[in-house]
Amino acid sequence: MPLMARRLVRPELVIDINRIAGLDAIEVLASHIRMGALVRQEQALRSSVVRECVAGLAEALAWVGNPVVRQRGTVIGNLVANTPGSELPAVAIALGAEFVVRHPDAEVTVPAAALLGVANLFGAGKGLPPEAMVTHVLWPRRPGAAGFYEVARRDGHAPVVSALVTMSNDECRVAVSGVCATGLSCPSMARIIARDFPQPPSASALAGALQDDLTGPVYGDAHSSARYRLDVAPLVSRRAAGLMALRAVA
Amino acid sequence: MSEEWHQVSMTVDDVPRRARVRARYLLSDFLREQAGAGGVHVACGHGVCGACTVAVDGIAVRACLMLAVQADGAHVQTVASLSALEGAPASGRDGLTPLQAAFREHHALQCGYCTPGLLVSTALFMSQHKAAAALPGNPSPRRAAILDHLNGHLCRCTGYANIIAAIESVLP
Amino acid sequence: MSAAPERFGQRIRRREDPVLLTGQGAYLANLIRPGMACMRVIRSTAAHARIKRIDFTPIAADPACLGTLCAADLPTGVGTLPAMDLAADSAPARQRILADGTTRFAGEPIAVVLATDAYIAEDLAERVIVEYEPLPTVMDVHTGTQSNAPLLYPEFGSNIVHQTAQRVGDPDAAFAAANTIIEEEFSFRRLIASPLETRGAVAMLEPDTGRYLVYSSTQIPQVLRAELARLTGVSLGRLRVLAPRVGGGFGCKEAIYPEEILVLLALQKFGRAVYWLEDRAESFSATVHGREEHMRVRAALDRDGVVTAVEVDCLADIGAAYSLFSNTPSAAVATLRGPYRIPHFRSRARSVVTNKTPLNVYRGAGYPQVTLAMERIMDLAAAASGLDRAEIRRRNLLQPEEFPVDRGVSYPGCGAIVYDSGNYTALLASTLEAIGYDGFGARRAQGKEDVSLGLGLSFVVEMTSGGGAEPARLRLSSNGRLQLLSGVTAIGQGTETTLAQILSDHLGVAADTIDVVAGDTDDSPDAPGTFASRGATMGGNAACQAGDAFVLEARKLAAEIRETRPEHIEWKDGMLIERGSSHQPLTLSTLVSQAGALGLAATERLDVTARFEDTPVSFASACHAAVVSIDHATGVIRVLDYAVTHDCGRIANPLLVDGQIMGGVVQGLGGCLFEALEYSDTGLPLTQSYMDYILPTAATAPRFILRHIETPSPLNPLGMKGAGEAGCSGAGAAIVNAIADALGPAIALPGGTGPFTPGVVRDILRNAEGLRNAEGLRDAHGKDAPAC
Repeated sequence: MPLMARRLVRPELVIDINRIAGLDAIEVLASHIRMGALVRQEQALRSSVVRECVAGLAEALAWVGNPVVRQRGTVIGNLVANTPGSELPAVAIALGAEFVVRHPDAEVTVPAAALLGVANLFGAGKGLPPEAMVTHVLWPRRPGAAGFYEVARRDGHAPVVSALVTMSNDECRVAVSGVCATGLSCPSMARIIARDFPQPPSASALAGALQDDLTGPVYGDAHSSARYRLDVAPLVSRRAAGLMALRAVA
Repeated sequence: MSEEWHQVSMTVDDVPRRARVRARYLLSDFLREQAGAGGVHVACGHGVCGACTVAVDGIAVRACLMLAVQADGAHVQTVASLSALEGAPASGRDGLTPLQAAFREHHALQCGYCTPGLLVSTALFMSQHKAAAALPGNPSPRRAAILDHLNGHLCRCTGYANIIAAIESVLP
Repeated sequence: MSAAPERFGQRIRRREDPVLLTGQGAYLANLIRPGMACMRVIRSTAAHARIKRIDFTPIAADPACLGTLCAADLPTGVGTLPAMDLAADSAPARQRILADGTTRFAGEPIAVVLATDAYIAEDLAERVIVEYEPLPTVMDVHTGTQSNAPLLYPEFGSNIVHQTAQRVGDPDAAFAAANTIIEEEFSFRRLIASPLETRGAVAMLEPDTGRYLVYSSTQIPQVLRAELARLTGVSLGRLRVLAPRVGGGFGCKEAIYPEEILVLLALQKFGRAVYWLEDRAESFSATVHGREEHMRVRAALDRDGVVTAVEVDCLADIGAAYSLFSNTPSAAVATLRGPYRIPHFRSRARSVVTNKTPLNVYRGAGYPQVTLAMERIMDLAAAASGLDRAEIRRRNLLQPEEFPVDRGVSYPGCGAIVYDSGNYTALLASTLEAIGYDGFGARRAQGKEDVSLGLGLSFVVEMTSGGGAEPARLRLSSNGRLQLLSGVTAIGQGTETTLAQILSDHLGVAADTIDVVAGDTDDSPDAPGTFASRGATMGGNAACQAGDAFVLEARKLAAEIRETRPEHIEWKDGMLIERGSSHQPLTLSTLVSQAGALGLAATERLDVTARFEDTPVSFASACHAAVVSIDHATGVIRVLDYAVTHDCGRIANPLLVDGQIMGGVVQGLGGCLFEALEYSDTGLPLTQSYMDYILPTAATAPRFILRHIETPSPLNPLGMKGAGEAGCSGAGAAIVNAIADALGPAIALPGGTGPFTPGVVRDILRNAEGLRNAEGLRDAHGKDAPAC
């Protein structure tokens, strides 16, 4: 909407999905939690199902925007917008989320990474044909401990760099936003954290691992340079790992 | 250039309103121009400042980020309905709700432009906070919750300290 | 039931609030009526270019287009916008109403389109073709002052359009004799006032009278009226200008803008009421900017840490043309010495035109810049002298017994700078205590592993109440109520409440029998308006003066009614009492009725106008202290605690003064940590929204400790000084000094540039010694606990 208000996008057709029944459910499946396209960020944040079944998602959601934004903004809307630096897309990639995409004649399930791993000016929707729509997101059920940390130019402003670290059955996953134009899953950093756990990981080791996990050039914009983001990301990840360790112990 | 027009109706502060509007007509403009809701203030037009916050079917919404057609059939409340949103009557010589009275008492407004949207948003926040506080294991300490809520509102005049104090004084 | 009068000094809650809290405030946008034409401005998309053509043909035949205007359509002889701070030798870099042949900044109004509604007006505006032939741009003062710089105004031969210089004593001798010399350069970023309400204007015909009514979200309706008359040829008698409820100004609505003139021109030409509402995106280039200056400062110290001389050379980036007060902020360099004695002084300020939006005053009007410069110098001087930062200030502060202090310099619009009263040593002592200065070393040591704490001080001495005499009219209504017609335009600072409170106290009448109106040139045709923190002081003194004149008339009228002499009538607490008589005292209501019974019109007699003549301005002062934390890993700075001891003379309403201080501090904090306007290489503004221009929020506000000292001004009967700006002026300085303190003496700060973003802080840390520790690599052996 802000892009439309400033005349930067001019869609010929705007379809409001807010009244489609049944899309606002958070459902527990055998190995996944399924959220419809109308599940609001605030709804997901407050959901005990989310908290219990998907380590890290609630921790990340708490940092998205502010309560008013979260009450109206949807989880899938945020994911598909795929704004550089946005918290959730990296989380979806790192946690192995999948999108259910409805085409006129078929319904397919694709890894979120397939759509979110490509940088597009106006969102991941560019990776889909215009008549397709993401109707659900599937989060693998993986309870455990999680820690999230974020740096912004100012509290509540657009996130610059954020990191999520989860530990579930000794498996560590790391999501980093704001270092590349698209969110990163960071298996090399996860290995370092798991190796040192429960001791805090070494920042220099994390910095080295991050280099291995990059999927493209480091992102920079008017808010924060690429150098800052690369510089700060290991330290932000280290803090997230520390928060995860506290929860794991508790 | 052609564009579609839509018949839209909604209740605004308990008064039914109807109009034929462009598809791209913003809810903020509908409320101000068709419903006479002069307390909806447009300060940024891109959903950052919160001055245009209203309640749509009980949820806080930035009116500048919604099309009027999306609110077709909805129950919209502006600051004029603050008493209902707050769940407390307006009283006293000036007819202020407890939240409004607290704002006045604490000098939580100067030019007043950000105030109506802030009041609507705060009233809704207060009822959610009360509900959340009743749940076991409530995560948010009060001040942190207030600051998180206020992240959605810009004020250029007051420096915020009095706004925080006013809200703290009415939040149990 | 008559309430007791309000008292000067009480924390009276505001009478404005119920209307504002219930959403009934009538701001400019609330005045728009169906049937008014919407005016949309077509703005330059080039920083510097010849305008080859403006082509309206794509929309000329569109029935939704109600009219267009470009420079060629303006009446011949329509002048340029006013500038009130020029010297005889200033180059006439005046702003046109619409760009004529050349555009000199991106965002400059080129043409306007009128349509039936705002959506259509924007559609139409987009279809108008403007062809540009780019010219080389000047985007900074250094480029602009090179010998081969492109010239914005070739006829001037230079981009330097104005300069002032001042000298006190013999600075050269002082520098020659100095024990230590400190030199520093400071660059101040371009910032904006950004009130939450953007600008707007409406022009319409007044029913019945046929006069032109112009509404504008402005701080200066009277000045606007005079300028509308001058620029459009409409006589003053046919012009009424009103400021409705204004949603903040901070100096950016203290200017005369093209749009305000254009709505009236459009009404004259097309015969229908016109409105213009600025949208936020356009405001970033359509509304004046503030602060941008570059300074070099030198200070001479003797062996005892006494600053014997200071000199400053300032280049101000004033944008493409004068606004109303473009030269005033840099003229504040004359006041660089602030509260310090510093007997020898030299200043020079030069205004340089560049291809950017015009610059104007913005809260503090140059004082934030000079305060930061002087206070950084004091901290550097402390370090160079081996003195404590509070001690070096003590050694240099003017002492209470020295007042009044003629500083030997002058300032436009107020003449000679003479500090009327103050007690700076008391301010310092109070603030040091409030912030916990003595115990700070212990607090710093308790800090977390990679978060360092710092404490910074600053001092502000600020001119207030400049701008000329203040009128006030006080009259009696037939129902016995008092009506005060004030020239102090309300922009959110609570003048209605303050003036009613002052008058209530002065006359001894209940405040709720007093109505205050302002902002209407019919009521107050020749007031200066609201700026320079003058409203409460000048408005309050004028109200009391009018009150005294009113009482005189009331006693005369009562004397006639009682058939006695005025000397036998006493005014007490709103009643007229005949001495030595058993008659009932007259209230204002009974005065009206009894006068009426005798054929005397009380409301005509009791209608007085007073004019509080401008005596030399008064000087408010404040000592600020900030405690900040710096997270070395992320570069994030937080302002934790903020103490201000403020002296604005006698305080009418401390509740409102505290609000002004806190609001000002947070504005200064924003400019220091978050806010900046950015331009592309080709001179196009990159800052287009609040996602780009980052304002402070509640989470960034510090814990405040506010204190007051009152050294009354001897220059006005109420002893007041202004309070609107000293909060803002001191904040950047205190915070930057705190940042320097947190980083430690080994790290040099870039000269006063803002904002101190996390990226800037990380760059500073990276460039400094001991960087390895800051990055936390000391934890290689897993010794450190993670910091949360």
